[in-house]
Amino acid sequence: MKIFTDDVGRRVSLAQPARRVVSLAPSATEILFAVGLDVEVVGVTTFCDYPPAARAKPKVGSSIQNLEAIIGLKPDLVLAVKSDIVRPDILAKLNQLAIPLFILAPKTVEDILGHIGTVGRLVGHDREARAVVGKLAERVHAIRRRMVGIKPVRVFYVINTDPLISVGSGSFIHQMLELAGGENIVGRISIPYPKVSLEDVLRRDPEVLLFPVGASEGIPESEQQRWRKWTSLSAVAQNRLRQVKAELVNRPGPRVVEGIAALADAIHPGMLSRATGG
Amino acid sequence: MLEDCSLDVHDGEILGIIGPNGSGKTSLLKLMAGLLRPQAGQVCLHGSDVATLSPLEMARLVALVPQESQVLFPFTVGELVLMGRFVHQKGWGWESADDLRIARHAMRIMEVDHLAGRTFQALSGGERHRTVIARALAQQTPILLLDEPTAFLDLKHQIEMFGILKALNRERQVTVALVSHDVNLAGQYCDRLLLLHEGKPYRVGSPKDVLTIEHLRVVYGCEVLLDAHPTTGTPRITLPHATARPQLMQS
Amino acid sequence: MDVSLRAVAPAGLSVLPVLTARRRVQALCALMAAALIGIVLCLQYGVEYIPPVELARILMNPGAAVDSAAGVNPATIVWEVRLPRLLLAYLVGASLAAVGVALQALLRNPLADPYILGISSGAALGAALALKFGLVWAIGGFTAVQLCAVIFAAATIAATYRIAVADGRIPVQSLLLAGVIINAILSALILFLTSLSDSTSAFRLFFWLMGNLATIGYDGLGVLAVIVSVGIGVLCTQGRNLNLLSLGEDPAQGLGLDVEWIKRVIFVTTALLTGVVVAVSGLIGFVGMIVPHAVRMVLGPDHRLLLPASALVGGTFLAVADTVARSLLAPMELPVGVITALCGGPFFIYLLMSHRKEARNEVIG
Repeated sequence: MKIFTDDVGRRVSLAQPARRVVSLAPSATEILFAVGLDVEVVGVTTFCDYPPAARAKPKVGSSIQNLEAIIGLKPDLVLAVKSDIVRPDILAKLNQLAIPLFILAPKTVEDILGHIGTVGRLVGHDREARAVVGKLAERVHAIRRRMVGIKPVRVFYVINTDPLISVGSGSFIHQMLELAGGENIVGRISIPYPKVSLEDVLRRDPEVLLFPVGASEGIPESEQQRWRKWTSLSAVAQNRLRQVKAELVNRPGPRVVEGIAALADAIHPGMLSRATGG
Repeated sequence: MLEDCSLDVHDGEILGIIGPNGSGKTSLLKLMAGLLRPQAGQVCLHGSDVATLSPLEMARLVALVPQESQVLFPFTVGELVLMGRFVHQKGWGWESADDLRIARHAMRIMEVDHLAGRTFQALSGGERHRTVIARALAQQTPILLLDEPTAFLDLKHQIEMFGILKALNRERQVTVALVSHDVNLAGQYCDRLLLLHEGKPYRVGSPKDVLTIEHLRVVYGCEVLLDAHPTTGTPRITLPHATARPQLMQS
Repeated sequence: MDVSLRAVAPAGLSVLPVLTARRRVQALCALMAAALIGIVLCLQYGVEYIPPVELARILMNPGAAVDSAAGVNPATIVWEVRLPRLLLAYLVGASLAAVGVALQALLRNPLADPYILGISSGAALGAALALKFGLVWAIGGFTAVQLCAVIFAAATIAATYRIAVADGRIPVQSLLLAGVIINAILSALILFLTSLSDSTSAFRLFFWLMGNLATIGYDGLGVLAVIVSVGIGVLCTQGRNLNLLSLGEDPAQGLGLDVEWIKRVIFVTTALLTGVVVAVSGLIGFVGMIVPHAVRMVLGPDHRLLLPASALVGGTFLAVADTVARSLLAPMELPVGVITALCGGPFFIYLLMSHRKEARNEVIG
């Protein structure tokens, strides 16, 4: 019998490694597949689209989880991520039915890598998990090394333009920005996703504006227009409005390192490839 | 529910509408004021169908004093009485000196001028009623309709009320139609009475014609004692003494 | 008792304690002055305080706002960020307050606010759809989200009207009921949309709904100013009529008011104003309800003064509230609805207390 403590302090005990896992978040799904599970993943959300194998799995809900669907799959472990909305009554029900629920609440990139390890232990794939984490950590180190001595560039990550929402230091995205060689101009706000003042953004004069977009989208024209009128902003003057694939950046899973690389590419174009060749 | 009502109100008369509760008195008054539309038939004022008149034209001819008034916002007595001048105001509707004078006069007649600065909500029932009547007077219409004008008024004001109505009628030829519970007062002051019974007119005529024991027995369902008012000679109703009925107290 | 009217004829003119044209002008001038002072004061605050001397210099010098190579300077902040936002707050606050006054008279309900007829939910649904489907075009200084909100608001107005109208007349209870029903249906649809969204979209909609004085350019402001001026202007001309209407439909008609006509005018004007305002600012609560009450308590219920005065006070109130919202925890911004609610709550408690005291006095006295 192993006892694990999740990120909100709940104790989860498993007599043996989980064999039927339901994931309530796209990032958790990616972690499960990354540590080598496939058949054992019995339920995912409609937003879980990576890896492609996940799309074929039975669905247990979108942003609202369907309790019946979850229970019907007879899971021995349910993974959830704190930032995605999990209804308290569903949590309570799962507790009542003694279905182990493990909640992840990543605040830093280290947390995310740690989660991969923890999940690996939960499902009895320790060794694979450690290997994956090792590789990822190495890549992170490589990026770090590359960034040594390079002056961080002031960046502003635009989750939404109107109202103006960005990321604060309470979000792992903040650390990703820093690892990618950026200085988050609103980083001194500790709330993960604060509404910020345009005045402050103008004052701090970001050199790069980052826009998370969907897999096939670019930055919408009208949104670009809204920013381009501030011609004194360095980012606008130097035409550094960059897009990054949203799912690489806002999913605290194994692709977080690709996200950091994508951010680095947007902030310091060509920097990474020059160094390591890939 | 009013049915089969055919009525001619004569110019310059005081008409009293009486009858038990539910006989349709208030509805009749509202029809006359143009606030209710008849499902069949017409209401005519000086020859024109009321339905063809705009609210403004109607309000120049008819002023209605309802039984109860609710004023939601803290308007003062002065402001409310001035609203009666709406029909006569031109342009942006700022009150003229004339409007102020007429309103002040109406308040003086109804003895509410000392309350001009008080809010309606802070008044007693009688004071509120007098205010609404003052407003109708300020409207200066040739026809005045009143629903229970003496309700809430104490004795002194009841007498004064009718005194004012008589004065209006005599000096300004104002036609008055009033609904009243008080059969005696109606009989004392009105030129004619209309007795309603279950939504239909039962009897129209002078008080002597209408207020008879037989008519009242049919309409009101009880016996009354009848004599004459010592000064005016108009019919005076007295209620018989009710004997205690032991059967009533047994459960 | 013989009463003759002639005998009671009064001697000279007496002064009645009622509103005169002159008093109105005085009150409005005072409020306008307060509004202007308010703007100037609020311009000082933001992420960084700009002292009055420097502010005066900036305001005298519109040209300096054009971007210099030196980057973003205080002049830019004042002219391009704070001023448009303050002006927007004024327009929105004035509209909400004026609509609140008119609806409280129309519906004879002192708790009425601009959102009671469901128009706001229509606008919100339009915005939600635009956000969900990621519509991003922009026309004439307004974004797709804002334009969709207006279109849906217009549709909601038409629907509410159709439901409420009977026989060419609009019974006030039907209007209220129609508003409640429409509010319920549309809110449900918005919830439905939200449940289908991923957390980012749900998040964005949530923030939009919370009320936000959007970054709007001077071009958008110009259009908005015209619409708002016309709307509030129309309402102000109906001051005398609203006095009568607030007495009830029967008394008002008895006094000569064309009740059906004015109901239509008020409904259409308030609905349009609300729709446009919600489209640019989301749902900002309490302004449309508290300001009419507060102004009525101080300046009296005569709508000829109450309407324009409430508009001025509402504008100033929202401008100040927004300034607090964006300066208090800078650089983080609070939703302005939070500040208005924090002012509104205690105010209502105070109203309730004083009302209860009055009621108790009436029983005793």
